[in-house]
Amino acid sequence: MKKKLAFIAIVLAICSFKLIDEPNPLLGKWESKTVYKEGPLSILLLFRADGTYDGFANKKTFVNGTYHVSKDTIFIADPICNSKYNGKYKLTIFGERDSVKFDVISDTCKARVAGANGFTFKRVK
Amino acid sequence: MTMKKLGYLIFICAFVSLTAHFGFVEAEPKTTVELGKILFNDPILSSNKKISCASCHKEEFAFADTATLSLGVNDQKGTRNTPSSMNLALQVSFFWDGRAKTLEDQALIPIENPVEMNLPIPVAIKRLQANKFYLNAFKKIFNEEPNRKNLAQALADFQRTLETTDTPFDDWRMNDNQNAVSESAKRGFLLFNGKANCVQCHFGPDFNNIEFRAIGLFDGKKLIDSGRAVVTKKPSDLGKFKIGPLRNIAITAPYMHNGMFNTLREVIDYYNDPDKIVPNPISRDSLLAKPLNLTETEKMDLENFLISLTDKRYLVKN
Ligand code: HEC
Ligand code: HEC
Repeated sequence: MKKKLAFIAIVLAICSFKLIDEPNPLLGKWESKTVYKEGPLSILLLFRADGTYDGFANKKTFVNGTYHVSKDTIFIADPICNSKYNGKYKLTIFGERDSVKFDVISDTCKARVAGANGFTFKRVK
Repeated sequence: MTMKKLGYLIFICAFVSLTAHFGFVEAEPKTTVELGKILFNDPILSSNKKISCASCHKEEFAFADTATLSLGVNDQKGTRNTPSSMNLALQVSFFWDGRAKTLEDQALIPIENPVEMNLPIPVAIKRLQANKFYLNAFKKIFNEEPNRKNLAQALADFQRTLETTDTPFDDWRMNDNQNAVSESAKRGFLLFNGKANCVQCHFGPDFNNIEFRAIGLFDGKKLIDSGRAVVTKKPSDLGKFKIGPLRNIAITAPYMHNGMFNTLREVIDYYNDPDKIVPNPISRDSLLAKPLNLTETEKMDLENFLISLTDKRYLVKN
């Protein structure tokens, strides 16, 4: 009986720990502004609570897919590269938790690496 | 002639020249974009002064044409369908074979094309320089007389403003507005990204990536436009074309480089089973190797997704 209780307590502890520990820091919209072909280019990322995300270039949807975050790592997939393969990027969240940088850990999709690695996005308020 | 009559005549003359000056003259452009818009619509850039860019790139059809082949000067026909000249700001090549790398390079080609506007650029420039309105406008905006470079820039700058982002599809994605598109269009988007394979070629902000691909519309017999190979001279480019951008696609029929499909449904039927329509293509992409086996509902879903890429300015009108 004691053992069982202890076990339940541990399970509960782990569960509640998980709940508190991992609010998704990426939820919402993030923007990176650059210049492309002499014109302004805004890249906006929208991360949703249901594990999907979209990317927009000058307000035009250009990519969508799925993601999840574990500690400081994001696993991200899209149908252009391969919806069943997750690229892995290290997330660095800094400033007043309003800036995020993506650094590739592993990703075989070259186009995504070119478009994401090393880029910094600011939270859209 | 009596004094009275003379006075009357002078009055009429004055009135006529006044209306000619103020009534019918275009408002003076202040920017390259405004100037480009006027040039785009002005037949002065064609040999017989009857054809403008807008004769083929019609604003009401997202700056494309409903004719399979547009008519140039003296009703001449080219060999390719007129694509939309909207949503070009992020494109990296122009024409179905990608032979122009910038909008500036592109802009002067139709003016000189014998079956389009048929006017040598030096003659076009002379015409603009001899025209008071344009001479003044170019001097004000560019600080110089009309020349090759600033003419191309004005046309390109105008076209770069023709971006459309106000679509039901973007509203759904950007604002999570679930009512922006139908359930059918949502299923169509999933098919586009999945079973139907479209996204492998049609991706990016305008649903075309920067590549040239062969979907099988070249057989060397009836379908003789070899596309990209004309530019690169590489056999491996035979039958490859610029991937068609898909924004506003619902209002830019007919489709493909040769305008061979009249409806989106025909396009979808082609992709569903290309062999049925073009049995012996030369070097068709392996993505189209097998029939997609789309059901009737799936075909409708795909079409509804494509329709959701239409800018709201066109949805209201049609
Ligand atoms: C007689 C009809 C006609 C006229 C006039 C015409 N065009 Fe076009 N335009 C076409 C056709 C046809 C194509 C495709 C040709 C090809 O791919 O070889 C095209 C292609 C284009 C493209 C490339 C679009 C893309 O997605 O690659 C642009 C931009 C364009 N035209 C702008 C212009 C401008 C600017 C003018 C006026 C200076 C003009 N056109 C005059 C028929 C016309
Ligand atoms: C292998 C790459 C590839 C795939 C896969 C593909 N397309 Fe295309 N698409 C192209 C190319 C290249 C063109 C232009 C071909 C031409 O004109 O000969 C084109 C043209 C089009 C056009 C006409 C564009 C215009 O302006 O006339 C439509 C519509 C279209 N595709 C929709 C689709 C849909 C829907 C699917 C999925 C069922 C799909 N495509 C799959 C490469 C592809």
